[in-house]
Amino acid sequence: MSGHSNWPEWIYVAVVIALMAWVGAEAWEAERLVEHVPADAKTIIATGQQWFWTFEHEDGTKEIGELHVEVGKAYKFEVVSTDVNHSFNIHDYVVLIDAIPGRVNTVWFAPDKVGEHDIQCREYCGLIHYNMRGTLYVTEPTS
Amino acid sequence: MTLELQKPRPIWQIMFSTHHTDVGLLYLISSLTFLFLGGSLALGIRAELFLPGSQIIADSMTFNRIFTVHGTTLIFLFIIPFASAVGNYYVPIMVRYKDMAYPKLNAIAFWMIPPAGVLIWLGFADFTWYATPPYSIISAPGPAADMWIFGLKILGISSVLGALNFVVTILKCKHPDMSIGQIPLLAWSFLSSSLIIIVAIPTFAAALLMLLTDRLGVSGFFNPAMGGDPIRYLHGHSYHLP
Repeated sequence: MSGHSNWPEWIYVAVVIALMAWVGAEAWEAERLVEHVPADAKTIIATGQQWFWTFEHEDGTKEIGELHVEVGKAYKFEVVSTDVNHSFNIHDYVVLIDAIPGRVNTVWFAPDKVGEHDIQCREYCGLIHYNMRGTLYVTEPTS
Repeated sequence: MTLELQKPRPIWQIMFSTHHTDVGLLYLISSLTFLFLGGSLALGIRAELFLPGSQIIADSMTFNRIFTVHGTTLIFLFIIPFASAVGNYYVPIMVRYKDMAYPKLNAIAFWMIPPAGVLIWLGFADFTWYATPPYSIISAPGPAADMWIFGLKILGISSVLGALNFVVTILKCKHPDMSIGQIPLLAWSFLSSSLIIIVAIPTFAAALLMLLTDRLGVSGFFNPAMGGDPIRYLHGHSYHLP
């Protein structure tokens, strides 16, 4: 059709493509950060079972319902389950990964401030799911 | 011109009708009924969570059951039938046909919904509307989970029958003068969503069947103790969600 201009539509298409590219790039970068576990990260095995969390440190010490870590150090969680699906969540540090029986899922974090934070289960796992909680204690380095 | 008010028809005439506007109306009535039922459960959930501790719901298992039935009701008994209500009423009109392609099949698809709803509500399962294994296999107590699974299987059959009807109505029964590009956008949206349903629901149905046989102990598709993988179920279940 003569005299018909469709440049607003092209601008709309360009804006949408630019937004999608930006969101994709941001997601790519976030994924890269999540996947890139620091080489010096200490491994903690986090085991979910109805209805509590058990943590096993590299030196073999175990904690039930609470976890002590040191500020400024990186930790890699190997999250497993012994019964049904759970989801390991430290809300304040945006740590969230499923605990699936038969699988080992990993996630890492590096606490940057001394304090106490909630640990919880974020996947429905039965009667006392609502109370499957723990406490993360971030303390000053001992040495 | 004078406006004549039609005498209201008795309800049984609408219930046993196969005309697309009547079936659409039945879809609308049932989906709105389930909206209010599921919504009342949501009110109960919010009232319970209004303060810490137990308020109006006796124990956590009852809360979990209410939560599950609420979610299942609003997803499978409200949203999907409500879309069918709109489609049944408008799609034949939009493609300028007298009815849906298969009117009796259309009525059957609707009448599968109430018994499925009854199964889900009487079962009162507790494993959320995802029914994630292995919890739903090894921990969900009693026949509740089985009733939920059968209820959803019936709803799946209903959805596939309805979707087939939409596809045939739009592609084969549209007015000969109407090209495929002239079909209104709403009818196009029903065509595309119906095609997705036809592809996706069988996958979901297979996942449900595997979940049932796992519960019966004759298979271990999703049970890690028998070499299965719970993630497989999530792939099968989530595949149909669009």
